[in-house]
Amino acid sequence: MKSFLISIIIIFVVTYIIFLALPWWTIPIATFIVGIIFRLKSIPSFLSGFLGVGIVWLVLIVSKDAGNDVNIASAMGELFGGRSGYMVYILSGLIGGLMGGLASLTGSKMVLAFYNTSEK
Amino acid sequence: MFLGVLSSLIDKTLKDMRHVGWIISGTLTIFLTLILNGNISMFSGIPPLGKLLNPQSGVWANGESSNNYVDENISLDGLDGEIQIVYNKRKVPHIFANTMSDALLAQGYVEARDRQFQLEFIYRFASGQLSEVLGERTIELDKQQRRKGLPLATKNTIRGWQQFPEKFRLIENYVKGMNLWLDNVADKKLPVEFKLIGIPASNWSVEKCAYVQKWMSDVLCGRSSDIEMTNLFNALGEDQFHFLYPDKAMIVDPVIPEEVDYVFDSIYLDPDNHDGNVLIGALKDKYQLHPQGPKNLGSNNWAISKEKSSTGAPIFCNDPHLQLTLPSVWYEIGIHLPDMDSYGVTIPGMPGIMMGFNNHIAWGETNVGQDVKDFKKMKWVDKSNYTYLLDGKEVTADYSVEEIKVKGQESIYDTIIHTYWGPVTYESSQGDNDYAMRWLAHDIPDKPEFMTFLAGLEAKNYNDYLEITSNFITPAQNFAFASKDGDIALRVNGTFPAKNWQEGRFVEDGSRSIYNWESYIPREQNPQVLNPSRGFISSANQRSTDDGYPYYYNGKFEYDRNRSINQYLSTSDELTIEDMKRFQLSNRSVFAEDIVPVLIGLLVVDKLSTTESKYVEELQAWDFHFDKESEIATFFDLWFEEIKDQTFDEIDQLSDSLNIAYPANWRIAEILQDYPDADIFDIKGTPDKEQAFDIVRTSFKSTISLLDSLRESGDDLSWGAYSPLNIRHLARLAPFSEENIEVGGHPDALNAIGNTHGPSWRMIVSLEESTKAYGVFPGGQSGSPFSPFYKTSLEKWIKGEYHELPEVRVPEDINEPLFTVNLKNQ
Repeated sequence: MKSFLISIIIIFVVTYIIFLALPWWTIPIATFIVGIIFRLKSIPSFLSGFLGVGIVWLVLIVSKDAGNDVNIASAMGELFGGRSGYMVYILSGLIGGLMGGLASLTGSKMVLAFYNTSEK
Repeated sequence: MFLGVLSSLIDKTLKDMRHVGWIISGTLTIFLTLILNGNISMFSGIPPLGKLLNPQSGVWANGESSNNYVDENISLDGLDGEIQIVYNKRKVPHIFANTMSDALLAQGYVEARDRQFQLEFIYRFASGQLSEVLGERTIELDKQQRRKGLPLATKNTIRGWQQFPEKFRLIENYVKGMNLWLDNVADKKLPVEFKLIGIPASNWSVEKCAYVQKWMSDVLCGRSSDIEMTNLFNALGEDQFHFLYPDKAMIVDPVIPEEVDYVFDSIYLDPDNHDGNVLIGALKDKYQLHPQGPKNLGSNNWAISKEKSSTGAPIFCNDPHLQLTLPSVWYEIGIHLPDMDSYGVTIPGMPGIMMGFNNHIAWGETNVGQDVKDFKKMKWVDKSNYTYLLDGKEVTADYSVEEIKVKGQESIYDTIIHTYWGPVTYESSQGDNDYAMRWLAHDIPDKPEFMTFLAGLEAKNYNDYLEITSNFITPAQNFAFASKDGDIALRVNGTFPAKNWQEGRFVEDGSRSIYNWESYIPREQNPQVLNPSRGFISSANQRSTDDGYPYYYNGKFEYDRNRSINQYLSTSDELTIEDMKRFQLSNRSVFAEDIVPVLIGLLVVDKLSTTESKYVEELQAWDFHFDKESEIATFFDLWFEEIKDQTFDEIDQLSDSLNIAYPANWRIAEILQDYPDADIFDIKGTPDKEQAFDIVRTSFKSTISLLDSLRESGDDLSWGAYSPLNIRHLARLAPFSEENIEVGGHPDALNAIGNTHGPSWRMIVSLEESTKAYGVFPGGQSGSPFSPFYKTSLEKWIKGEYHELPEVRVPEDINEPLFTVNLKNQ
């Protein structure tokens, strides 16, 4: 549990730094490495990546959009066939989360497969 | 070798089931990331969602907050001095520069910054490259642009402009300014449309400016009805043709008032060059003709002398009626040089100010409908060889293979043959009916056209203005002018071929070069007027002159708004700015005013039912204003359409097998009034011989029942609801458009609103010692749908209100500036 939480926090920080300094699509590489380091079981590993990336992603866009004169999420929702702005936020968060979760899962499963060390 | 190792590794790994899990999830991760980033496209039509929705470079980065603008400093090479760009509270940039060249650099910079998507779209539209980003739905449009010879025209335009190297440097500097922004646009700053549609970022060039210029020509002087008129002439016979399609209406009220005499030696044209051979045989194939653009295109401008003005100074007004779009057609800008402050609007992509005012003068344009595009029938010797006959000699044509790139599929190739006349635009299946286009806009310009709209940055009086605007070639415009000196003037400005009678109305024999334009009207012989005795100048796309003008011209002209303007301006010698607003916003149709009494007269009033009498009474009580609330306006509009439908049954029939055009509304009105027993009113296929009153009567009845059924089904029949205005986003993205706006107005009224078109900029300038100016357009300064300035002024425009355009001389004159951009030498 403890390493699950630490893993999430590290992914938070790493994701945030990537958004500041590196292209967004490098996020799965980073969470993959975090996955290798923490070697969590499948579900906690996926969740740490999913929540870690997803939450940062969601918080950033919602806070950015809140400062805008024109609400971007609702306009995008209309473009996506009349969906609400909330749906667009959730979709955005899901995209990030899925990417992060899958990468973290890959990392932990791979390292376990090769080194056959016991899962923490 | 490598593959062998890899596959044995995979075999080995897969034997050990522990590896299956991470391989699957790893592959999924990679695929997902590539899809989200758009490297792999799985579902066409769906943008790469990761690219679009990530917090870093996705759409979220396109947000703007009006209280969050910060000043910026940019260093670069090659400036003449420092440039300051101050954005006012409506995000209109005011450029303060020391030289023209610096000012243009800054203009390029702000236009690219605020209108990048619009620029890209216009360029791609003009050059026939939309399909590359929009997919197969624009293939036909792209083909048309190439077949019209837009790429050829652009190439020639650049060649012409380059003959003026000193001036060319100015436009290069404008382009440099655009690229100062565009070269540095990272993913983050790309307009949202680029992200949604997946348009790659690109920089600007003089060539793209030329495309914008040619796009304007295409919109404004790209009309031709040669093919339709030739078909009609052949099908209807000479008499009926000239009866239904005369060159001009009985009442013209031309741009240049009748008091002007044309005292000059006009060019001699040999009438034998356009003898009876003009008309060639019937055209066999029905072509997919290029759309002619909507009928509602037009504009108004006028100026009153100080004697007619309550302000004691000339008042200048202009409102161009174009297709209204978002981002807005026009871009408002102030340009301040050491001894000149100018302000007005321009179309992004061309330097200068098209309509506006400076410390001394005000200027603006309306379109001239003269026909400068003709079609010639090719006589092939051997089409596979592209060899054709010209003056008895065999000539081999050039050809170009146009590649039209299409998003998501293979490129499409179109071979265009280039003849002596121009590109072969329309081709028949057998090659026996191929038409080449002769269009003024294809020619190599002999003047630096792009200098025209710099006039406002330099001209202090009418002579300056005439000299600079003489650079203008096409699309010809009625250039109206007023000055603080007290001059009001107008010149029908542009290059016009000198034509024989009926020349250019029909498809002509392409094997004889005598059918080409021999010479052009010298600019000083263009119709023009300075300080006419009636105390005002005006234009509204009507014919340029009365019959006193020695040159023949044909084209598409307007007969209603011009009379409205001239009537309004004649009413008083004490006209105020409020009057000017009232005129620009007038929904009154002179056309309806003229024809309604005629129609009522034809109804044979005594036989009407109660309901019918009620409609007649309403029509009689109508003030002929197409106001938003008016239901009788809707009735009249539907009724007149019905009259046309029933009258032109024989022309309808022709349209099944031929390209044709319907007679103009003004002609139908004349025939209804003066020839009620004309053949055209006879409905073929009935034993009786119908006359105008039969048509008017039956259409009246059917319109009433149509209206009743519409009312029963719950339709709102007020004019504003029945005929709403749609201002669409350039790429037709609905959330970025404004649709179903209920407003008054009509294409025949001065407030010329019709469906997708309308007054794209309303401007009024009183040239008092301290200029009083007002202006508004239906949109906003920013091209970004997520900007608070995307459609800031739309409400005001709908309500018929104006922004005051305050006089600015120094940066400190600008109230509550949003932010400043400083450009300095490195």
